[in-house]
Amino acid sequence: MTQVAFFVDVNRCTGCRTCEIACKVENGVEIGPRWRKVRTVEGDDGGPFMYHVSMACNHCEVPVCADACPSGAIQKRSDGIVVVDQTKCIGARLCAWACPYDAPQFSNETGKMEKCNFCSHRIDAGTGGPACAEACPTKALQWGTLDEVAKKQGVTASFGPLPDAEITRPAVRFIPLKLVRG
Amino acid sequence: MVPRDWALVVFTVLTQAAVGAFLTLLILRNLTATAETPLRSCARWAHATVLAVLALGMVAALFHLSEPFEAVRAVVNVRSSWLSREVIFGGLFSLLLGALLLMEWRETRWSRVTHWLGWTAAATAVTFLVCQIKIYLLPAQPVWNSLATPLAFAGTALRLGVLGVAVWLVCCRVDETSREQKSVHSDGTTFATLRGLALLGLVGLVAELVVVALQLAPLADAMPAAALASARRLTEDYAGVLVTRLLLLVVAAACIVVVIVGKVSGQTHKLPAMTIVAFVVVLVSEVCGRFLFYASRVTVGI
Repeated sequence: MTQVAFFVDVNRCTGCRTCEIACKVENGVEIGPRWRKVRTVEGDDGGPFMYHVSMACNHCEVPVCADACPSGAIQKRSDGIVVVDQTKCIGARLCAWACPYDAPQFSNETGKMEKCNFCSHRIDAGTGGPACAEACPTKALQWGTLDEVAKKQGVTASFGPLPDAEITRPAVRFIPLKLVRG
Repeated sequence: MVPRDWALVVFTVLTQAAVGAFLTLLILRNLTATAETPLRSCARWAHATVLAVLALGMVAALFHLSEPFEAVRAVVNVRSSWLSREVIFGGLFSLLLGALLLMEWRETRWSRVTHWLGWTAAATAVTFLVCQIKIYLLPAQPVWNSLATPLAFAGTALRLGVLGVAVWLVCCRVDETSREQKSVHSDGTTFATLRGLALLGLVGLVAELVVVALQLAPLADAMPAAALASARRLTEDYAGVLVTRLLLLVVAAACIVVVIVGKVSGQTHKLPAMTIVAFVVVLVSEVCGRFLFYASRVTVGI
């Protein structure tokens, strides 16, 4: 299986949230659920710091959401994309409980769970990759195969406040914040 | 906690009460195998009540789903989903209990078949409870992914189960008393059974204090952050509910001690009332505790 993956360089992210908007526009996401979320982290490490992390479904190698779903509505494709079959979802919301990344969201409009699907319709049609990555103005958010992304220098699957990557082995790699002190 | 989670509060409390009560009745029946006790004459009504409570709980669970009419799909992913397994074993327990009830209405004494049916139902009930517990042992939810969850769920089954059977026992005996003109207090077998059940209930109440301590432990140790956030929810956002729960546990314990000691100033009609009060207080306390269980959920991560 050629696993697709996201790449996030936290040092390049300005928190503009273009990725969030591009995702909502591309996938017609209603007001409320956010398939991609830009989160802001603040702290103090001998001086204050702040950075942004763009997070969506990480299409994990161990999709605990799929394991937890009682109706079998969540499946992992051969390219690694984890998708929700809305025709099978019964809204039990166990996927939301099981996911460490807060990816599955409940839609009040449809009464079903929904989440990032890696813009699988664009991947399948060969018209491009995820809308969020292609819209990012600073190239903070990119995509590729997991092999390609994992080979980038200085990447890690988890850092700082992010969950332990061993829980689900997310198909995402980050370049964590590099603090520069004067 | 989202409003739909109230369906899960009702479901887990009622089904765990049913599991606890069934196991208590089965063990009591085997302990008093040769004695003619109210247990035998009222057993079928006790099992009917357990089945009704179990069914009520399972119907309540449907309201947790956004598609309740498609609930049958909940058994599809038995390969990996503990919820699917829970539904299957809950259904099996219901069927076996129903079969047992049918046979009890036909027979006055348990036959070999009924005996094995009862123990098979018990094994299914325990498996049902284990599946319920496993659903919540999620690494993404630190407040649930600890010893507190199995202790809380098993504790609910123990407390409501033994006290529920105690209530049934005094109601059954009182009914007979009104016909036989005897007092509950003077019936040695019933009183001994009642006292034993009350003692077990007290043990269950003490166990719940361990659960609360485990849930609040992250306050002393700040990592992981999600566990600390959960503990803060309990002590800040829902402090009133937590205090109410603890106070109710103390009141229930006091009622149970009175039953165990059996000193009701010679007014034996207060014994049934004290047992019923203890059960009702514990039931309200369990609802509070389960509300706190769902309300304190905080996912790991940012």
